[in-house]
Amino acid sequence: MKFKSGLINKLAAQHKQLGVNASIKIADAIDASIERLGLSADISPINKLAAAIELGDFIIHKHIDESVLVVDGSTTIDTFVMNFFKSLSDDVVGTSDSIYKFDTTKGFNHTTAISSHVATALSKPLQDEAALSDTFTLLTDKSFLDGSSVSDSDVLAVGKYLANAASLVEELRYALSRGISDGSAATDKTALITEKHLDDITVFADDAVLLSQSYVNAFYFADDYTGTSRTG
Amino acid sequence: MGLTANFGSSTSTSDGEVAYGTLGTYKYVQGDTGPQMRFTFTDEDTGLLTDLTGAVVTLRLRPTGGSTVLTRELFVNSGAATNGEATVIWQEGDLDITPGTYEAEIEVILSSGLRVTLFDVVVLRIRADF
Repeated sequence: MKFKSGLINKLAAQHKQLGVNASIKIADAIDASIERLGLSADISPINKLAAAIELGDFIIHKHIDESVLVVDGSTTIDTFVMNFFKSLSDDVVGTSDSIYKFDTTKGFNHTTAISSHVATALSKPLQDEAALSDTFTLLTDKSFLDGSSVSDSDVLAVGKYLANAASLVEELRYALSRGISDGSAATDKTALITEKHLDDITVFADDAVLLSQSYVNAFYFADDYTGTSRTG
Repeated sequence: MGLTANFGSSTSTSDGEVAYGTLGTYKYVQGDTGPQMRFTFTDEDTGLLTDLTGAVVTLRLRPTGGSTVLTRELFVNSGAATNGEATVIWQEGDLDITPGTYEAEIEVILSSGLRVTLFDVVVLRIRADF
């Protein structure tokens, strides 16, 4: 190669001095001569290499690839490809995470549903004194909801509490009325006995006037007639 | 791609070893893993980018005048091998070496099996880490 190049340069210089541009013919002649000598005249597409150097962080994903390689043992090429898609899919994964977060929120909603059950349970304990502690628990749950149900529970609790109080008063009134009526009955019995006793006396007095049973005057029979009398 | 006459411009040293030049001098701190070094290979005659498809590019590092202490294959992106680019990706511990002046030789084995080594070397100066 160097021989051929040097020969071309020398021949070219000579023809330049002669004012003849025959470099192409000379090159062809030399190629033909080399070929006749059995030498390879093929020219490699690669001559001497030159290199330019830059400093920087050119392959950022390379380190990430290696980390992934440690984790799953995938080959370097596969890891590199996977890492490339990972960098692209990070955003997508983020979106997916957000969706999962919504699911988490739904989970809290489920919890809220449980608290609603608690609220239902609270209404019953409100009928007795246990309702106070249940109401406190309900307030805690309602801070997660909207707080409106807190006031609702209060209204419900008050209504029931008043109803219970009313029932107690009514029971007391029934007891009092009975006491009064018993007394009245005793009075009535006493009066009834008194009147019956007077009526008996009157009947006996009327029976004494049986003189009218005779259809004649009593004075008519003067001495020898004696009327028949009865005692009833 | 024509033939070129290259009679060489290198000179001989006093002890007979052929002198060679440097592609550049770069400074690192002991234990560094960056920055990376990207080589862009071209044909010295034509200036065309060297197709590194199927090529293996290797860096060999040694203290100046010493023995090789590190051999590191450069990364060639298979998807852009025609760009002639190969990158030195320093691994953990590669530069965790005794501070001093080192020289790196770059060797390219093309897919045809042709071995081409850059005549000039890359000089690395390593200083001690705190």
